Amino acid sequence: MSNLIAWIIRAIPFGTIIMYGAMGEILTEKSGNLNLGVPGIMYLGGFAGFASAFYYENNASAPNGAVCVLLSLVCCVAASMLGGLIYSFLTITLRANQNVTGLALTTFGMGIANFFGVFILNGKSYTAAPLANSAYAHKLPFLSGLGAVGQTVFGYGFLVYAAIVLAVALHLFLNRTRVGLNLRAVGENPATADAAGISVTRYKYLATCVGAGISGIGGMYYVLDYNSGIWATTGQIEALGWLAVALVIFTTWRPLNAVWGAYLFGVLYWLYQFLPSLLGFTVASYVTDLVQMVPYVVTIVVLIVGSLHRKKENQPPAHLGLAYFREER
Amino acid sequence: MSDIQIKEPLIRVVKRDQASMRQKIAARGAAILLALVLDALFIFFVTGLNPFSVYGVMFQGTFGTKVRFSWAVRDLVSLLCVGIALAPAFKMKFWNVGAEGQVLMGGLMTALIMVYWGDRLPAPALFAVMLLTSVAAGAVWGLVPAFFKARWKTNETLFTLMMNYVATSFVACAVNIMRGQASSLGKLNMGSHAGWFPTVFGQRYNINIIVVLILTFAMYFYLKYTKHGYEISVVGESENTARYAGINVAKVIMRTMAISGAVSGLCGFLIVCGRDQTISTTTAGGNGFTAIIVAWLAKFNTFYMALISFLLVFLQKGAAEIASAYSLNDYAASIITGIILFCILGSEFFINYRVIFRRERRAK
Amino acid sequence: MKADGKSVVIITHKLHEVLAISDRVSILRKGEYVGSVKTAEADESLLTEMMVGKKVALNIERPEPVNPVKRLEVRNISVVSEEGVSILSDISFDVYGGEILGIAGVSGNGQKELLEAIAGLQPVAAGGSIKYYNEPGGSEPPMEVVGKNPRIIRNAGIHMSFVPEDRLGMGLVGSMGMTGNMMLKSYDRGRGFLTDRKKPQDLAESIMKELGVVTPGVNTPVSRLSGGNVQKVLVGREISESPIVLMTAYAVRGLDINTSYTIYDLLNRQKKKGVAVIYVGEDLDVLLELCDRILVLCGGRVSGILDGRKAAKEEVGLFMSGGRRIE
Repeated sequence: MSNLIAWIIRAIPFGTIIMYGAMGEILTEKSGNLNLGVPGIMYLGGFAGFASAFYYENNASAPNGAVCVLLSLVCCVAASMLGGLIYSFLTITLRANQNVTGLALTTFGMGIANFFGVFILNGKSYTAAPLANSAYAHKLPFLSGLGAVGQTVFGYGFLVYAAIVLAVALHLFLNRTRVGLNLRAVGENPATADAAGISVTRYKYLATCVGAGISGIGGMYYVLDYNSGIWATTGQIEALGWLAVALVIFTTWRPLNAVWGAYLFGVLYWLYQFLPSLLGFTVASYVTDLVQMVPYVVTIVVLIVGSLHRKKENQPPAHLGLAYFREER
Repeated sequence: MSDIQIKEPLIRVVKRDQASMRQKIAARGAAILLALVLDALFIFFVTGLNPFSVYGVMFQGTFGTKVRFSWAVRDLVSLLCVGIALAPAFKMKFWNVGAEGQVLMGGLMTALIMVYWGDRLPAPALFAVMLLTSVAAGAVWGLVPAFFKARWKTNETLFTLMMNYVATSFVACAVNIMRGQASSLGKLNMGSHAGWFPTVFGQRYNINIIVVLILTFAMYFYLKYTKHGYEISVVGESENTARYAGINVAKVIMRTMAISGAVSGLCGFLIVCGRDQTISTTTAGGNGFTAIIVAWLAKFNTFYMALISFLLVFLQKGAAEIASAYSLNDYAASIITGIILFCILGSEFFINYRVIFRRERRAK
Repeated sequence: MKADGKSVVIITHKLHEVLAISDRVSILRKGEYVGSVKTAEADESLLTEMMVGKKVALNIERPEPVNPVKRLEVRNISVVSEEGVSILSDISFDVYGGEILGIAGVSGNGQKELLEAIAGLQPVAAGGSIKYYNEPGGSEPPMEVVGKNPRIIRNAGIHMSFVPEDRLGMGLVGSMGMTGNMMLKSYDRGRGFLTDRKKPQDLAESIMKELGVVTPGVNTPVSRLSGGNVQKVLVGREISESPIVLMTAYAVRGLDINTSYTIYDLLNRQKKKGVAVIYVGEDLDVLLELCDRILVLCGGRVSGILDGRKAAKEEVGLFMSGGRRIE
């Protein structure tokens, strides 16, 4: 039983990381932009959040947890949005190919984060921002003490709950507001949206930059909460970024699905560690390597099934990945 | 007739008819220049060093010594090989983002045969079997997403992307089994050297270079002068036109992706036998993704791909050199590469479109 | 709306429409403003002169069909769309060599699907048949077209050409030049692995000269050419195959006056050679001037087949909206 709890406690935060990544990308993709730079953006956000908290902690006279949180959030979102801006400028204004631009951004973001990270690391293999971590990981005061339920449901840092709230907000925005409807129109058929007077350019820019900001929070959550506030030169964030991209497909571009989908991926990811002991047998380590592919295989199955049935509601936005040029209508 | 004032926007963008070669070179040249300036600024702000001396050091990274140059060519060839694999798929507008996985599967088959049959087959037979299985493995890895795209229009970008991670998982598992109790998998068949490429002109990977050179010409020829190549162009342009012409679109998609995957698998074979003599999840080393950028920028022309691959490898080697010389870290290469790519991608705009500024006009 | 005080702008090249309902006419040519006239003071020849730049006589020849022989026998063709909607129901008609058969109907009544079915691009419901007569009245039996795709049709010796409605999206490869496009149906010929570029290049050059295609060269991507020149390339290629049946869908849609008349002329020359020409068009006036017989489609059915020389415009219009029906 304690194994199951331990599994859930690991799965949920893991899911939260990719939930942010996926939600941001859903927003971006609804506007028709396929941003394969999500891993890079998560790097940028994660690093910016960490670095700002780190410098504040070590240089302020009486560092305050709340200020830490605020500062790192602001820096994280700013850095991520900057990444989104680069992508937007290249693909919307300069009409560059989206796939290639996204991949370049991933390379770039990872480079920036790890390169500047080295300066902070200063020769050590890892470094930490403990105050920020405790601020983020601060659990709900009373409820988290309520035994198993308390641990599994209420025992997480505030960003976990914020993610769920954000998913609901995103769902309402996309499906119940006029602006959300306009955004979806832009992604499905920009020519028609343009003719209806919607500023395609503005919507794409905003959706991509805001989406990037949201994805970046995922990266920051990884560093400051999930990884206990420790920064090290790593490729882990990239893997998480691609998992987030997979999650977008899995959710068929619906933010609400991102909630349980992300947690499901988290459960699957930690499957190899907890399932054997849960079921009472040991498994050779090479089998756990194979289990790592499960989330991706599940996503492939979703892709295939989605294309088999071709139900309109489950398709990606019709103009995903294509640039819009008014004269070519 | 009344005076009609025409209101023109400040900046207008118009698609260009055809950019002359001079304009293309000018745009690309400007892009690289801009990138170099941005990079110099970056280097200066971060390290306080004179950018020119830093560039000088970068130059050393590739051209400093004969050995360094040889290594540069070796890495160039690995990257170029994947680019060649992507060329037919991209020409068909099939976005094969799965080269990384296809390379890994090819390399995996090679490694497995090397380890388990290395002592049972004479060298020529061993190489033949390794070659055939890696090509087949890569082809299958490419064929699966192609089949679903051809039959049910499944999105190939996302499918091939996911296949990468499935392949990585297989490789991790195999490496785990093969290394047994050891902490890491070193070079395979250390004792017998079974399955290692023989040294030619001093290096084992020179065979890689020769093979890729041949492939460069072969793929260029295949795409430009053969009936298959023509079909690929038509399908890439418009499926409707292809059907109208009587081309079997599904067959062309699958055949082309089988070839694309096969060449990637071959690349894996070359890397394992010629360069690393071992397999790991990083065997493809991100080349699968970088090659996408190479193939795209080169507009699927394999000779341009060679040039662009060389530029990228030069940057990587240079950055590694800077890292060791100035105690930075070689992630600087990613930053520099990223900036150059952004600039080149941006320059595409000026090649394809014209920017017109407003002139005040009064028309009758 | 005009009576309500609203401004109405109509963009059209149909002169009789303009003369009938407008108050003023402004003419644009090659992206430049030529002039405006009051409709009351204008007539067709003045407007044409402003549109084209010089005085042109616009009439379409209609030679009598000589020795028409049956080339296509279409029976019971029905097409159902993916969503289950019936697009064509039980279409039957004959097409003769040496004549132009027009197909009239409001756009979207199954014309596209009908031509594509004959070309082998559109699957038809069971029971339909399209027979092609290579040697009508002679020893050879007719060949069945239904169930074959374009390549099989070609290889079976059925000489059919098709100028589709979607020129750059179906009939041509936009990124290739004239040479590359000439090869579209013939690239597969000859043994061996390699494509032959010499013959297509020669063909491209001869079409360029004969039809006056305005292009920097035979290798300039055809997507860069103007609409009229694109159509010349397409029609030129289809005619060069020496077809026995030639189908065209909206052959002059969006084209300037000069090119339109070039196309009519080309079709007439084919007709005189004994080719069976099918002309799907939307301009009733052209149909009544050009075609020998006019088949009217409405709601996916054949409303009627009229004599092109004797029919009245109102009659055709009536058929188009499903008015009368010939059993």
